Amino acid sequence: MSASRTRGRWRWLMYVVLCLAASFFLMPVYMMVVTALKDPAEISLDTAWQLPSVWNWASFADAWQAFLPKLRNSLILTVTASATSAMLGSLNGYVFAKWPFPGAKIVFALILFGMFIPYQAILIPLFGFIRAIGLYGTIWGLVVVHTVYGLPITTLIFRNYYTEIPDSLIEASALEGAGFFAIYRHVVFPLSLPGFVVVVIWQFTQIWNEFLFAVSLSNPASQPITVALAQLAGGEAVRWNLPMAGALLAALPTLLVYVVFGRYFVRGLLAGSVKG
Amino acid sequence: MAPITLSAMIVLGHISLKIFDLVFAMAGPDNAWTDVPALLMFITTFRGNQFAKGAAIGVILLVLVAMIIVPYLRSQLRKGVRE
Repeated sequence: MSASRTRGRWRWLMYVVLCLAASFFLMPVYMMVVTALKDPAEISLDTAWQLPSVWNWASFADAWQAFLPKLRNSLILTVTASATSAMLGSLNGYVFAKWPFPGAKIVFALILFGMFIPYQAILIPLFGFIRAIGLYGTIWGLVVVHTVYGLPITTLIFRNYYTEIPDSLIEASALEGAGFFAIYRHVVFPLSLPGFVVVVIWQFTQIWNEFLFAVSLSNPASQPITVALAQLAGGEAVRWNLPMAGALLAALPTLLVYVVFGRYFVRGLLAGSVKG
Repeated sequence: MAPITLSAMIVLGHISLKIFDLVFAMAGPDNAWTDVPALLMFITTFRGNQFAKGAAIGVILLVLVAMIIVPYLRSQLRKGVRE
């Protein structure tokens, strides 16, 4: 009896601590929403925490107007690069999981290392390369970069995922006369949906939020939303409601992706990591 | 808990070593108090036009990250072989 009461008390304490931690983490979000809803004249450091006296919804309309081209850039970039890197990663993972070749372990380790290379270490050659192939200042240059930089993580996730598919299934298809691509198309690919969900959520979030490549390889016309936001917030006399409302708009797509696919995300990650 | 804590520390450690965008956006690129290697590289290269120096900073960053990541990857892949 008393043991259960002590446990109940601990549970309460736990919830209190968790709520405190959660509100601490949500503080910037509160600040963002409140500032976005204020009239520009009303925004000052002293009253930063107070609710707006008049709710100024026009900020969102203004931000939508101002950021629409950048949001479109981000969307084209993110969707194209996520889809391409997911597709190529899936093929890579298929090879590493089911078609071992001499030295595959070393190649796999090298590909994995690619995931950890600091962007700065390759930035200058990359800059030169994108310029040389004539894609500097376009979204397509960024698409190429993000596709290639996404390959390590997509390869890893798909390789772990495909290890779960029984070898006998592949062998049976091979006996039926199916070749490398036929097996991929008719056996492996139809089984890949959970893997694709995980990879696409991951890539979507990463590419949408990426900043360094975006700021070094784009010009004002091809800027993704992250760069546009940082530049708007960088000046001295900023009407803060605009960048705040813009930040909120910019956060929505990734939030939406998580809400829609979130439950697959956890399940899919586990499916890849636990070996049967 | 120990292995997963170590993994998390290594993965997050290399991420914080490479941190760039938060510092750039929040503290501003010209704030000496919040300078980090990744930011210094960007400023040196694209604002200062000192490409050689920028490349050197990039290589140092790469070596620092490799010092953490290479042993980690080796142990992880070995473990994969044993299983």
